[in-house]
This record gives sequence, structure tokens and C-alpha cells, in this order.
Amino acid sequence: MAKTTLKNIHLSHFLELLRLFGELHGPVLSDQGVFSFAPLASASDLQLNYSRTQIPPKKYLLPFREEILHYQKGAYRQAVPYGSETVLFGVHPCDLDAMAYLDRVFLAEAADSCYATRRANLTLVGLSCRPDDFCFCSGPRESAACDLFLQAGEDGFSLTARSAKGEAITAAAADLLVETEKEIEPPACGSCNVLPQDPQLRFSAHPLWVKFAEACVSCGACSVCCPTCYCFDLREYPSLSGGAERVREWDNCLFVTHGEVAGGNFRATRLERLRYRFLHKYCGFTPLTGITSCVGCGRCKEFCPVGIDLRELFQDLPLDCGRTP
Amino acid sequence: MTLLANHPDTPFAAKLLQRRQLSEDTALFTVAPEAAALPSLSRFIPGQFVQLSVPGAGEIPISPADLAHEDGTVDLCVRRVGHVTDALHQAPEGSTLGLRGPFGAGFPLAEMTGHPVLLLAGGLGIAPLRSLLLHLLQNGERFGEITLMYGAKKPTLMLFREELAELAARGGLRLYLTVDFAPEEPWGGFSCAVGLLPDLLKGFSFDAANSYAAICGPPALYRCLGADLERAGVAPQRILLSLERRMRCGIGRCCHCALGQKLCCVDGPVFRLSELKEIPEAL
Amino acid sequence: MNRPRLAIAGLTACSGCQLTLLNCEEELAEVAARFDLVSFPMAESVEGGAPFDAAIVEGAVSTPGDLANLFRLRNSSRLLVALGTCAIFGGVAAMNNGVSTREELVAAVYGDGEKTVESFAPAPLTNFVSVDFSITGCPPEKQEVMALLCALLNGTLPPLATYPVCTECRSRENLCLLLERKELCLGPIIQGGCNARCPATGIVCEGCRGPVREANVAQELELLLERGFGRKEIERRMSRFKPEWDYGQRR
Repeated sequence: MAKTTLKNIHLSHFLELLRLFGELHGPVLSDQGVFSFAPLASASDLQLNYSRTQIPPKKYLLPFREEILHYQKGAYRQAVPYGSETVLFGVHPCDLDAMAYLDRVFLAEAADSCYATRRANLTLVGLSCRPDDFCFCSGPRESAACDLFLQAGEDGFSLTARSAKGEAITAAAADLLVETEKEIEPPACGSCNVLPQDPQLRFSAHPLWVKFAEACVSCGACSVCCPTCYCFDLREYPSLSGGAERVREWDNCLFVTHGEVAGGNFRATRLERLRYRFLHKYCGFTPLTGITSCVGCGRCKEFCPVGIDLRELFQDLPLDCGRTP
Repeated sequence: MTLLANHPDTPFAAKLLQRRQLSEDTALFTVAPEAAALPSLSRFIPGQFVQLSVPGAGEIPISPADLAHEDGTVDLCVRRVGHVTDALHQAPEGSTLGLRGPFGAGFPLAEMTGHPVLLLAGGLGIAPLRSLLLHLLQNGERFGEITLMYGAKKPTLMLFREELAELAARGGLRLYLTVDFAPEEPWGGFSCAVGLLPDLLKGFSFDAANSYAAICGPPALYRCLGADLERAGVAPQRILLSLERRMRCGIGRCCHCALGQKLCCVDGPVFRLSELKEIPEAL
Repeated sequence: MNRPRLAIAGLTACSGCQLTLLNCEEELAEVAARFDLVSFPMAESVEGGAPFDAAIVEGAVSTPGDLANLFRLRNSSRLLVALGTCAIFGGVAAMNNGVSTREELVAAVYGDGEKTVESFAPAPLTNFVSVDFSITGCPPEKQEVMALLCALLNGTLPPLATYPVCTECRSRENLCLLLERKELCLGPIIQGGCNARCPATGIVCEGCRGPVREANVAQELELLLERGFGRKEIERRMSRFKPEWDYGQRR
């Protein structure tokens, strides 16, 4: 099959062209030295060989904190998120799969309006990656969960449009693309090698459970940085003038408040909360039961201050890379 | 600006019509939602919950204490216990509140038809069971014998006691009341045992094999009553428990109310004991 | 509409917390219109009397005068709010409580002449009275102070965040000073809500907001020891804003 190829020398032109489709964002290195997705002022800021950003692209769909409702003059109204078309360039397959998972949560029946608005404004341009030591995906691969995917090769990128938006981009970029006979090797094997786990494993007598519970500082980094963690809290704040706003903020199952009710706590110990995290992440909740939401991006492993890696609990189990999240 | 007033995460406006103090810290709030809310609210099934907003304070999940009234009003029984309920208890009649729902799975009424039903309520747990009780009594001819066992800490904390006595006097309801602590002076005028709810159940003879049981109360109650009922011969899939969790969004997203892999707001709050047995952390 | 009657007072402290309120410039006019600021010695010369709907109190208790003032406020207010780290934990004034005796400290400041100030080891408000609500910080965040005032107008108290500094710090995509730079950062065990103000500018979390509700102190200590800090140095840093820590706490 003939493939559409973008030669390296045309990349900066291609990026300029992407700006026609929305504000261009991509992986950059911040002043502090942290990889993050941010507006691309110039093509030279782009970090094509980044490993992973600290905060995954979920921030474009579900910001850390956002007003979701306004109360004014006796009525609650949905806040309409400010947003213009954004093109997010250079998203790795794991992060693309993660957004596909979030879509399943937030775009299901009674789609979340703020999320849906942001999602509709987001054009995703995927980029192949080379896993590092923190990654636990099954290796380089392509993800279909984007508008356009770029498979990096030696002297260019092989483009695959995955949506109408993606096709519009390739059409607009026709002058920069060449049809090549030789396909840039598409990786065969797919996705994260963390398979859905047996829910009962959370009650295993594995000594690691206790070790993790003692070491965890409940800083929240694992789920803040996780591309598929989406637990949120809702809080309401009045204003001086009599109105109010309801705020949605990322929450975290490792916080003591997560399982609290008036006069009690259903997950009072850190051990119970780690088990909860295991269960949600690797086994799924209604209606996503039996689905792992781990995409193997390696963030939890890299950003945990005490080196907790929940996968160690089931590491000796056989792996199989044929299943997708 | 798009107005999607009927999105399930956006409360309808509702007016606080009346507050009736039931005990020192608990009151029954009658709330009248705007007309647009009625189509969804009229689908309320006993055991389901609504999200009640107190503007500026926040939102709490509450299981209505009554059937959906014909005029669209809803009765909510709320104890003053946190910052939202605090604000609610201070709100003057006529205040604007917010209401959305109903959410979750209620009691399986169709399946319970034709069977005797035993309701076991502890403390504030009477609220969701009251709506079930009223449904059962309204449709008495369709159900078997209806029994309510209700335990409170002390007589002054026994909610709806006159109303319950009246319902019992009309027939169709066997009512057993108990308090943990004996009152120092005579009170009420109807009989009331002293002791815990499980003690009441001990001496009770009923058609266990054919019965449904519905329990609502503090967590400890579920553990002992569930086991007692099973021992008495009620099938675990017919033992229905209405659970409390911190439902924030009410629509299966925020993940605060998980028990095992189920979400209380979507799969519950009414669960069968048979389901919960596989979820060690549920009770 | 009823204007809630407020008393705003300072005990042993630097007045920085009260200043935070005065710094809410945009809202100040509306605050003055909606509240009856009955007693606010720092901001006005005329002082009104009790009772108050809420007394907002800054500072630690360290003199008989503080104590009398505190009791007076408690007895005349429906709500008592501890404002700032000193009022909640003792704060900077209390950092040497466990290190030196009161006599030594007084002598170090006032010399060994006639003792002029009667004082005792600075202590949090809760050692003497019941406190209905606390806003931590040295100084507190403006938006938390405003959240309190708005909630008071609404007859309630605000739901403030209860997570550690790390949560906001990571969400802001800051470089982790503890992991990447191996610095003495207290982020994991310190109450957030400050939007990781210091780490965002490359300065470690000094712990000015006091412990987060469920602080794994023992693990933080281990982390810092592993990074080569001495036990003494760590304890010294941790006690800067709160004198007593349970270093074995793994909760």
C-alpha cells in the first residue's frame, strides 16, 4: 500500500500549516526543565524525542480545576468552557489510548458538556515513540485514537489519517507530502502490556501491599500524572454578591477524604485506598468492568517519590500483548 | 450560551416550601421543583436518590422520604451534619434550592409484588424506607404482609412516630418500634420496645422463605441484620440494602461512591445482599 | 439583609494574616458593605462591642493578655475561626518551644535586666478554646480568606482543599525539587491550597501551611535522610512552622 510521507525537511512547514486548524500545541521543555504540552511558539521549541510529559494531555479535556456550574438569580447554569480549536501535535500512542478511555467515561450517555466541548475543539496528531525504561507498553506501535498519526522513520514521517479532520489536514498538506511505495515499518504489536487483572488480587497476601501502604505519602502524583485517572471532587463557593460557582477539581483515591461519608470512611486506611486504586485502574468499574485503563505510559513509576509500582503485585503473571485497553 | 437545563449534572431550581422539624437535628423539607423537573422526578422509584443543592454551599445526595407527590413536590429528610446540611437547616422557607435526579437503582418493586415485605430501619434509615413503605401501603393489595421494624437511639430521635402509629392503626402494617435507651418518663402512648433492632427480629416469626426484606441504617446494622435474616431463611437475593456513599456527581463519573467494581450512584444505592457478598468492603 | 457582625483580632503574631484580608483590595468595599466589621483593631480605631457572629483570630497564645482576649472573643462569638499557621499550630513564634526554655528565649531578646514581658510558650488556640474553623497559611491565601467570608455570608463554612502541596505542584507541571533536585522539600506532608506557590518559583516547600490531614511523616523523614540531610536539619526545618511533629507517624 502506498503511504503518504512527510520528509523531515518539510516538518516545520507542516507545523505552520497545522496552525490553520487551530492553536498549535506540542511537547516542549519548560524553563524548569519539565516536559509539558504547551503552545508551540515556534517549531524549534518542539521536543520531537520527548519521553513523556509530566502532566498528560488529559489537561486539555479535564483541567485540574474548572467551574462547571454558575448559580445566579435563582438558577444553576452550565458553564461554557472558553476554548478555541486546538491542534495537539506529537501525542504518543499511550496518551492517545488514554484519551480514548476518557472519552468512554465522559462522552457516554449524558455526555459531560464541558468535556465534550473541549473534546470537539481538539485535533489530535499522534506521533510514534521509542519507549524508555519507565515505559511498560509492549513496544512501539500506532494508535487509531487520533485524527492523524505520524510514524517516524529515518528521513521522515509516514502519515495515516484517522478521521475526516485528519484527511483535511493531509489534503491541505498535499504539497508537502510524497507518495512512497516503501512503507515506513508499522509496528505490529499493540498497546499496554498491563492486562485486565483479577479483582480478587487486591486481597492477595502479597507482602508488597503492606510495604506500599507504609511507603505511600499520599502526595497524589500517581493519579495527578496518570493519563486515565479522572476521579473528581465537586465543591461550591458562594460569591459576595449572592451568586455561586460549582468547581470541579481532580481528586485522588489515595486521599483520606475520598471514601468519606458523614460520620465514617469506607477506605480509612492507605492499604484500602491502594487496593481501590488497583481495582479501578486494572479491573475497571461499571460499566467499564474488565477493562484496564493503564496505558503503560510509565508516569506513575517515574513520578512516585517512593518508587511504588503497583504492577509489581502481579508482575509474575504471564503477559500477552494482543489485548488493547 | 447554550442552556441545557435538563442535563443530569445541572440542578433544576426548586423552592423550599416547608420545613418540619422532626427531631433536634433532623427536619423534613418539602421542596417544589420547577415544572421542567417534573418529567424526570415523576419517574422516582423508592430507594433512588436525588441531588439536593443549597446554592453557595454545595450538593448532597438524599433519598426522598416520600413518593413523588402529585403536585410535584418532594419530601427530603435531612440531618444537620455537615456544611451543606447546616446551610439547608438555616434556609428560610421560600428559599431557592436546586434539585436533580432521581438517580440510581431503587427497590425492585415489580419483583417484590405478591410477597410479604419486612422493612428494617435504623435511625435516619427510616427516610428512604418511608417512601417504600408508602408505596407498599398504597398498593397494599399487590403485596403480602407488610412489617416495619424501626429502631432509634431514644424516643425523641424516633422520626415520623405519630404518622407511623396512625398507618399501623389503619391496618395493613405491622409496626414494631424499639429504642436503644429507655426513656426516663413515660412518652408517646404507643408501645415501644427497649433494645436493638436485631433483638426485635429474634422473636419475630414470619414467612421468611417467601419474604423480601429492605434494610436501611448505619453500616453496623447491615452486617448483623443481613446475617440474621439469612439465618431466618430469607434468600440473600431478596435482602435489599440501601447503602450510603459519598455520591458527588450522581451519574457514575466522579468515582467516590465505588464499592468493589460497582458504583453506588449507578448500580445502587439499593443492592441485594447476594451481590454484596462478593464485595468484601461494601458493608 | 442581615450584616454578619465580625471581630478580627490578632494575638502573638506579625499581623500578616490580617493584612491578607486588607490586601483583598478588589473585594474590600463589598466586604465592608456586607459585613458589620464591629471590631478590627488593626484597621480601625473605633472598636465596637460583642456579640459577634464570627471572630477571626490570628496568632498564637503566648501572654496572659492573649489568653484574656481569646476567652473574651470565644465567649462573645458564635463562630471562632483560627486564621493562619500561628493560630493553628503556634507557628514561627513557637519554633523554639522544644529547643529552649522560655526564660532563655526571653533573656536572648530582652537581655537579663528587668523582665518586661510576661509570656509563656506560644501555643495554638485549640489548647485553650474550641475552634470552629481554620484557615492555614503563613500568611493564608487570599482566596481562602474570601471563601470564608463569602461562606459566612451564606450561613455556612467553605469546603477547602485537603490535599498536600504536591498535588497542586504536579498539576502546575513544576519540577519536583524533592525527586529531581534532591532538595529538602516538605511538599508531600504539607497542606496544599497555596497552588504550590514556592515550588513554582523553584523554592522548596518550607511547610508554612502545616501538616496535611494524613501526613506520612516517617516516610518523608526517610526520604530526606536518604537524600543526605541530617536528622537535626530536617527536624529544624519541619518545626519552623509547627513545633511538635510525631516523626514516627505513618498514617
